Amino acid sequence: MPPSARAHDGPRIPRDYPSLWTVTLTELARMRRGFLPMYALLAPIVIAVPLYLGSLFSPEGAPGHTWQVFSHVTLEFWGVLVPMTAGLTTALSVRADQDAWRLMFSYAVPRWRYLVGKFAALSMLNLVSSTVLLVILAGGAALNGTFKSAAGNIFAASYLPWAGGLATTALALLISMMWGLGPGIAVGIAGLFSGALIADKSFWYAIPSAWPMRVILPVAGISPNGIALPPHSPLADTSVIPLVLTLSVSLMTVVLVAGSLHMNKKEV
Amino acid sequence: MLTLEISQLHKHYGNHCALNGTDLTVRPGEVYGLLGPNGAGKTTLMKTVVGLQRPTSGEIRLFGKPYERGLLTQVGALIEMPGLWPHMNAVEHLRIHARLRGVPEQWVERALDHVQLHEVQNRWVSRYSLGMRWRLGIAIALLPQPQFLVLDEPTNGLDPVGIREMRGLVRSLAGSGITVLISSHQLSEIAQSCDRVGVLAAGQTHYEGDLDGLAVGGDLEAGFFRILESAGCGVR
Repeated sequence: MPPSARAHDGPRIPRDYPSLWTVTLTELARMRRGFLPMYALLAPIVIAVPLYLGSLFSPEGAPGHTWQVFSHVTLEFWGVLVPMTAGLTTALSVRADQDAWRLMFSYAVPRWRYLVGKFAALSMLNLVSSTVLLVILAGGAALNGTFKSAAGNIFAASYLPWAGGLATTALALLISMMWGLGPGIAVGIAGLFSGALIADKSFWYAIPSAWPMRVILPVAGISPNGIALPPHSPLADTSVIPLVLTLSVSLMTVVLVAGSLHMNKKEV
Repeated sequence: MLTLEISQLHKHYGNHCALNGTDLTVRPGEVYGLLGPNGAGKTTLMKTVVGLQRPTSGEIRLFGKPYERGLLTQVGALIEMPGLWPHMNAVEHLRIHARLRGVPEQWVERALDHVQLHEVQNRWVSRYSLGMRWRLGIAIALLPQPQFLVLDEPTNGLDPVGIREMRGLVRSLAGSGITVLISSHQLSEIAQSCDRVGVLAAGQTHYEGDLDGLAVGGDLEAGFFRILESAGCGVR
């Protein structure tokens, strides 16, 4: 049982034994300023707002199809942005902490909590980003009078890629922890390409960073290049969604367990 | 009961031997100075003591007990440069570390008092001088009110004023009953701050005792270089 802080200073708190939630909160506190929160909030805006304006005046969107054009192109971009964001934000977050590890790892805190806490915080940040996208998509649908019919798809298209990207976040985290900034960002860049090039291939399930795009395809009814799927396309089969979610959560769990073992042995 | 007892500690990185049978004893309440040239193994030794590195072989006893990570709850450490987040201020740093270490937030004030950072406590660390960064690092290390404080070359890069402040801080910590292990390659610093010293060269302890025993004819530097020469470390 870990020792506790002195009683006269308040309730007894176990020393060097923060809950996972406490560790996650400390991670979020560190992510409050700088590039990461700006990126989380602005990335969906920077992508979606110009695309909306473009769709208003595009030849395809002008004759009453603004919502379709806007949502298709936006979600196409989002499908490749999710894994890239996972790699980029994770690598930068780990880099920001590398010097502080000399302090944090000298505590008796179970080290796996640092890893899982960071993963949880990054996932929350990505969830915020997805929520911003949801708001923009909902706004676009409302402006075009299609919100009611599109609400379910908007919700699914915003949050399912996030869930499909959990495994990529965990992978990028482990790789960044082991090898640093460059390889972590490389995971993101690989995700950018794999989303566009592999999501519609038969072996998509073997490439985790293609999973966010793969889950978007049936929900948005698009191919990876943003064009609407033809009728009866196999890519429109929604049975892929539970498979993606199961794969993502399973791989995430495996990677976090492996990462925790790595953290226990890590020397700084 | 000794605060720290190290016996025959070895640490290898591949073919490189950073610690080669180091022995060391730190008594309660003393300021122990770890001297040695660059590459002697001082930082590796300190990293091993605070759990940042794992020894290849040898024994470490902390507070009279065989080493285990749980004992680190009573240790504060500052190894190499303080790892700080530039877009956060001193209070935010201390609150984060207080939460991780499970100490009440009221102790943040105490730690700030120790290092006298109140005037700049709300300023981002990116605007701190090196001396302020070191003081904040020490405040973080002091947060849990440790019995044992490990400081790795805390005067590195400091100007004379910063060095004097650091020396005063270390002495005041020792006065409050904290055992301090401090490394340096500046003899004058160790001479003014420490009760006992150990001289490390090529990963081995070549002297351990008081400063008088290290000096040759009252000359500390001569004694230090004599030990280095006897250890086979060429002195240019």
